[in-house]
Amino acid sequence: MEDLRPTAVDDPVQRRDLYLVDRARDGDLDAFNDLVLAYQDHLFALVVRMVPDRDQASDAVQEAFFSAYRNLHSFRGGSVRSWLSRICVNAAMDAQRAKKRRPSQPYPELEDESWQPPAGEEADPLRTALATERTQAISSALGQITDDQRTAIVLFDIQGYDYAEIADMTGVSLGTVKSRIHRGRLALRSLLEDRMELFRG
Amino acid sequence: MADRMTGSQHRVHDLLLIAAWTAGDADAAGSARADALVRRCDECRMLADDLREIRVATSALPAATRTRDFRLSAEDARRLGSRRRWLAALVGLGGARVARPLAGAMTALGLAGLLLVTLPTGQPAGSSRQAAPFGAGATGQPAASAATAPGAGASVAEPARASEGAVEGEGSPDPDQAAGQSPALPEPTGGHDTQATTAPPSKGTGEPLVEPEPSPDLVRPGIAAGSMVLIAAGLGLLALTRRRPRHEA
Repeated sequence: MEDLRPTAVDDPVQRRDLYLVDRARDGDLDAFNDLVLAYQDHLFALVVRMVPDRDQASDAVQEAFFSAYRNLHSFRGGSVRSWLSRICVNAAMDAQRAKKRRPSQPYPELEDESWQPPAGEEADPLRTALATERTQAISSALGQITDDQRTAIVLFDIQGYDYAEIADMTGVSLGTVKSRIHRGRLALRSLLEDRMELFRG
Repeated sequence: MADRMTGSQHRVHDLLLIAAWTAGDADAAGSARADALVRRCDECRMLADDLREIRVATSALPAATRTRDFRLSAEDARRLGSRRRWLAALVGLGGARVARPLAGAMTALGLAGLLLVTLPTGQPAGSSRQAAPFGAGATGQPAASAATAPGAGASVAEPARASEGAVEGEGSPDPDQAAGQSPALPEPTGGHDTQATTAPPSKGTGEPLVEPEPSPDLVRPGIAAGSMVLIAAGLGLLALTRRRPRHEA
């Protein structure tokens, strides 16, 4: 009989996560909420780049946590972070599909302070302004490429997942993930062609 | 650099290859082609540089600040938990000790059912059609018909019957066939004529030879289908109950 019990988990974060999952399965809500606290920033940052509407992104993340709580029994071990990310990616893709049915201005909150890079006290105003302009330009361009390309680029470039993890999360082949990333970058370059001087040097 | 390419030539260059090469995803042959393009075409080189810059800029995008706390309230947990408990009760996740043996039993029962319908019936006094496997009951119909057709050469049916007779101790041919029953009558399979062979005195007396009973053609597929359902349900339940590994703290 196959033993799904993980062998020695060396990563203390993963050990903690697995322990919290076990407690949450036994009905310990605080344990589940500890997982929420550990990952809500990461997951919101992931989803909000995929669903460029902050309210929808928030709803998607909340729904993803609900789904994770409902489906605790389906967690088969491994990385809790990846498991939660997969659920969030699915929720974000659902939100993307819903957004297609009700299109709105992409990234309507680009002027929101929370989108801007943090500026230190000694920050050079010129550099800060340039960084802000870059962020706005690339965020806007990201909002214009296809959902699939954006998802792949966000997961790879921003969230740091590897090709195999992205393929697993999005349910496509490794080659498709690479192709989406490459085509997405080409699309970004095409959209930013007139503003590339912001990024050069 | 006498062989530098012009902008018009760039239009036909493989930009996707340049993108893959920039990301380090091109194979050896692709890398060689991309390398040549980047060396000889200014626009390809600029594209490669821009793609690298875009990747750096994308990676450096600041994380958006969360505006909501996503922790679950007790009310959320109760609402979601009630659904979870319902599902758990349904599939026996809450009681794997019961669910797993139950799943095993269902699977075993299903397999037994399949075995029952695929193996010969093994009736001690069975006729030639009883001895045939279930599948052969349908596929062996022409042979059976040939054996029962009036005027059909006995030799056609004899080999099979002779071998069965050796097993069953019946040396005589089936009285039904000996009497040359109408070939238009439906040919039962399996245990249909059990009674006929176990009640020889009734034959030739004008009484009905065979009591009406459910046709095996209908019963066996039913058993087979039920068995398949049992196996599927058992395996599904087994899979569901094995989805909950415990983790070391």
